[in-house]
Amino acid sequence: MRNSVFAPPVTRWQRIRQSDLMLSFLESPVTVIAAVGALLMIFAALGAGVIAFHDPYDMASIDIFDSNLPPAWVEGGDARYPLGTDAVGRGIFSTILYGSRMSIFIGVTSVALSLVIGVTAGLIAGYRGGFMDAVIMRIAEVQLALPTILVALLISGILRAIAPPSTMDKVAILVLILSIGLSNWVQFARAVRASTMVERSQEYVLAARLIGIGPLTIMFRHILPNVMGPIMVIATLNLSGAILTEATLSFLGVGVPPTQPSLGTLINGGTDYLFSGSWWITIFPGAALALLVLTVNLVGDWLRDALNPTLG
Amino acid sequence: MSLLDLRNLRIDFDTRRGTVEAVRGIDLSIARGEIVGIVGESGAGKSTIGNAVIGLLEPPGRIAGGEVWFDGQRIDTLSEAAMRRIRGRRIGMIFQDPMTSLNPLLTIGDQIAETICQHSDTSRAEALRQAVALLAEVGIPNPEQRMNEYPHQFSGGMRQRVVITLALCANPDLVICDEPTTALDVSVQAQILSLLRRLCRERNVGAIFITHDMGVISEVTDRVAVMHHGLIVETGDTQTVLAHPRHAYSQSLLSAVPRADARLARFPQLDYREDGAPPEERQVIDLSTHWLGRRGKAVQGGDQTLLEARNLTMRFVSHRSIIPAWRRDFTAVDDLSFDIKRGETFGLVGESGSGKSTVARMIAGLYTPSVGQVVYDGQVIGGTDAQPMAAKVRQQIQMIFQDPFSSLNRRMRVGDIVAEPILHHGLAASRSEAQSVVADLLDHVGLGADAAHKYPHAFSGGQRQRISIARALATRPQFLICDEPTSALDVSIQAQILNLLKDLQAELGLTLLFISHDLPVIRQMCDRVGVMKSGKLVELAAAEDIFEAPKHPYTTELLSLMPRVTAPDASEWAAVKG
Repeated sequence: MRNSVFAPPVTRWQRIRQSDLMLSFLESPVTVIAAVGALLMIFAALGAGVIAFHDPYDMASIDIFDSNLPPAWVEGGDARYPLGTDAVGRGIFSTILYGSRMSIFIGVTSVALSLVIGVTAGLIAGYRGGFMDAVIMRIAEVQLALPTILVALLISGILRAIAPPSTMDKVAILVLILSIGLSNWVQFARAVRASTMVERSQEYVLAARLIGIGPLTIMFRHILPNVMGPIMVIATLNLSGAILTEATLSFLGVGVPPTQPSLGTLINGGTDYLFSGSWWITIFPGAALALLVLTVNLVGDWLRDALNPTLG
Repeated sequence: MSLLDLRNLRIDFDTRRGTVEAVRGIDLSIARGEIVGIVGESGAGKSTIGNAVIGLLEPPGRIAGGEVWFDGQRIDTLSEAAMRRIRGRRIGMIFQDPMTSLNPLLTIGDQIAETICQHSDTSRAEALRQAVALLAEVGIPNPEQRMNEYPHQFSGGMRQRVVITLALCANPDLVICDEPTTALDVSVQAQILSLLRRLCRERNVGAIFITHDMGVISEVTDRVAVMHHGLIVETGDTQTVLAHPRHAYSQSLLSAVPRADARLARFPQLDYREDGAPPEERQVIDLSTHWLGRRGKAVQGGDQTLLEARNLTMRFVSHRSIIPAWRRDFTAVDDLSFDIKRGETFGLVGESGSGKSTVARMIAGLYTPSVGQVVYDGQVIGGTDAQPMAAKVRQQIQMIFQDPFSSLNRRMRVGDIVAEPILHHGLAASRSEAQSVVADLLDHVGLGADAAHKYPHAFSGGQRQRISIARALATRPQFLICDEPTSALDVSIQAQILNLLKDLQAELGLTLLFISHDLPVIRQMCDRVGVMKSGKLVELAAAEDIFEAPKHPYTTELLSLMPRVTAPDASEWAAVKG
């Protein structure tokens, strides 16, 4: 892709400040709160090493005598562990920070993977039409018939068979990214294909063809920027879905190994203690997951409405 | 007493970026049985008035001041419930698009009968009987049978007749017609206009006729109000206003209407500007030194043929099937042959669906003809057995499209849009040269070099069309296809764009293929004209012969249906020039 030959006379920030999107964002208090909440959680997760009271996965920093402590405000709680500790003495607050870092990482990379696959497939199917379109869309339909968990088990089985045992921890994360990414590209492909079919017959595309510009340049330089709106909406909504799927798969044992924190493994690890009275081990990671998914979804919903011209 | 009285009416639109005053205080009255036209260019506020009268002003629009009096009653302050009793029953409305103003899931008879029952205590059987009579009155053949058909079984003109029936079935006192014939072909337009005029006379109904088309105004209205930027600048008897416009804006508007009776060298430049600034002077290109002059081959005059269409035929598949006997196709262009000489303007004229745009796209190489060939400068460039077009030939043929809003990529800066062909074909030695060429081209089409930094949404329709022209020129073309380049534009803008095309043609020795449905525009622009009907070329002759001595009956019919504006004598108001 070529960059603009023409430098903008107003700064990018000024343009963003005055855009309709920004104005509509500021008009919706729920969205502003959700966006601030989501950003806070994401930054807290990224800065886990600084914010957390201790590194729960560093053996030297945990003490088995601190195990199963209730949250700080409950009788018997300890101020060092605001949300209590788990069976081996790891602070729940710290594990949530480290856990959501992993969850968000897997969510973002898997959505990026499905976005790249889906957008490319959708552009080619929509612009080329005919045989290519039929082949790509049939593959997409086959993909839709396979549940994510099946794909995950399949990929996990293959990778575990070919990868050396010492790299299993890394493989587990790769399995998650690949299986979630490969399961969700169809949505992107369908949306991009539909918009591309509309854009293909627009006169600016005809003008580009008249200049003699090749199909790949037309697809990626001319059509892609014009179909990005719906893609961003799907990406945001899929991010929360991917985080949930990660949690599900980890809960079921296909995903992140118990030695590494993710929101799914934390919830999974805590369920054993739920009825023995240590409710905080599983409730707080569960609440963190719900809050993260809810705020990201609210932002995605607003984006969908704001970018839909028919809703004004 | 007048039927409708607008007193100092003001309408505001509150937007995120401040208040837009759409209508800034107008006075207008309409008597029973009188047809009053409101004419003006887009954005003048004419449709807003119609919507405000009938109480259908969409938020954020609101009546900011003034009064609307209808038959002795003030109606702008009425509640929605009270307004609903007036709307449809006493004031009818006819919209522009007959395709969307009917419910596609109800039969025509049901829609009319429902409307009649809604507005009076008629039984359904009686309403259906009335509907038949009304359909017969608006000139729909076999009304009993067609009552049971659905809107998609009606043609555009027939649908508009049904919409008129719907507006008239409750016996209203006033009808508001908002561009009722703009979406229709001239032949259908003439029928609808005479129908509306006859119905208003017979039923003694007052009508507001909103349009941008001076020809339509002169055909149907008794009085006319000329609107400009939310103000009525002139009102009066239609024939008087058209023949002797007093206000500078009305004069400039009328002078921009293409004349059908004689060809002028240029459209008179009587640009009305509120601030009184004179129109800026254009720099004339000297081809020997200018970038645009560095073309491969010098342009020669004479009778040399530049482009030849040989037996062009285009079939589109309308029904796909594995079984060959079940396949159906539709012939859009049928065995069309013509040639275009170097340096001339060749016109193709015809109604919608006649296949003119398909011809343009075949010549441009966007469609491959099913049968036949396109020969450019002795080389076969289009046809089933043609070689892919070489970049050198590709560069020489460019096109200007109809829709100024979809022909520019809204995510690219104007400068990048115009620079793209230059950089793609390597027509500039460096990026800085490309930038200066772009600035020069934009300046030359009358936009100014600063336009390069903006995005297309910052420009109006006419300015966007200038950007399209600059982009087309950026490949240094010899042959320019103009597919309805001004049909989406206001008349005054149309005159400017057509003048620009004429100037560029003269300076650069361009050959033009000019496609339009508008006969007066064709007359002003073209040297030779081909008349198309249902994919066939029915007549091909010099423009003057087509207009003065048409041979084919279809050409004669088209010419007779063309709405004519009584040509005003421009010399009379020469004093306002400049």
